Amino acid sequence: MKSKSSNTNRTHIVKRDSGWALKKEGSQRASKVFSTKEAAIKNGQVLKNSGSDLIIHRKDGSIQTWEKSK
Amino acid sequence: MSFNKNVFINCPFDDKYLPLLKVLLYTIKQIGYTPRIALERNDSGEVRLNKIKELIEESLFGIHDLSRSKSLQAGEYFRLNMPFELGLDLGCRDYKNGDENRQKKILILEEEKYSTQKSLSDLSFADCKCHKGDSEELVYEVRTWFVENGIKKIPSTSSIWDSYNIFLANIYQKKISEGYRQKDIDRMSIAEFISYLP
Repeated sequence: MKSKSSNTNRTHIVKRDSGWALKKEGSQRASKVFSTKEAAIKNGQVLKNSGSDLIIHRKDGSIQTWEKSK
Repeated sequence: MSFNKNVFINCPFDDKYLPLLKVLLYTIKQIGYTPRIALERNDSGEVRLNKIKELIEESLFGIHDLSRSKSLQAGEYFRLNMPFELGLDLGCRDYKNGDENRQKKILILEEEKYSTQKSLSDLSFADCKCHKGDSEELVYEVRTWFVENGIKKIPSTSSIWDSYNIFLANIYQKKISEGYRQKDIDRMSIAEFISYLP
């Protein structure tokens, strides 16, 4: 699978060594880093309600849940 | 495939290690090198040891993860394949004719700091890198090792890690649209996974 351009309609919750980051695809930096995954998911709902798919990753990067945008 | 760009990977082939193997393969590609692993092809008629020796001889770099060498419960045999293949790589570097073999660079990974030396005291000289069983930490250690070996201008750890997560999302989206289920995606063969690496 060749690398493709970023899909800005996707927001990822990815592991950081300091917690879990909420990161919109295509942006250089995370929107915010949360100390718990639950907090990141809760805050991610706002972006999902704004038209972005919310992709929750496991610690190893694999997909835990893919929440379609509303 | 060029000797100077090949990286031989020696690691456990089990479900628990699979996530680490995948991120390792991805990281090597992102740094601009080609991972070479016994799982890249599967021919029951091929003697595995010969395949491994061939891969070692074709690779300037060797990454050896010894983190699963110990047995985890009473009665279980400890796994010797990884230390054995490390020995082959070291032997190739030190005993096989040819200047290019003398240039070989070898990385030893472990999950727990100093664990390797407990069972392989011959390697007490070795500077092993510890990934703690964590995928992001593995990216950091492998990337750092390449930098320490003179490879310049490679993406940062964060960049590789974030792009890896996006890469997995792309595979997931593609496979789901093709009718795969989560279980099928998680169990994707390494040969197929390698075919998707950018």
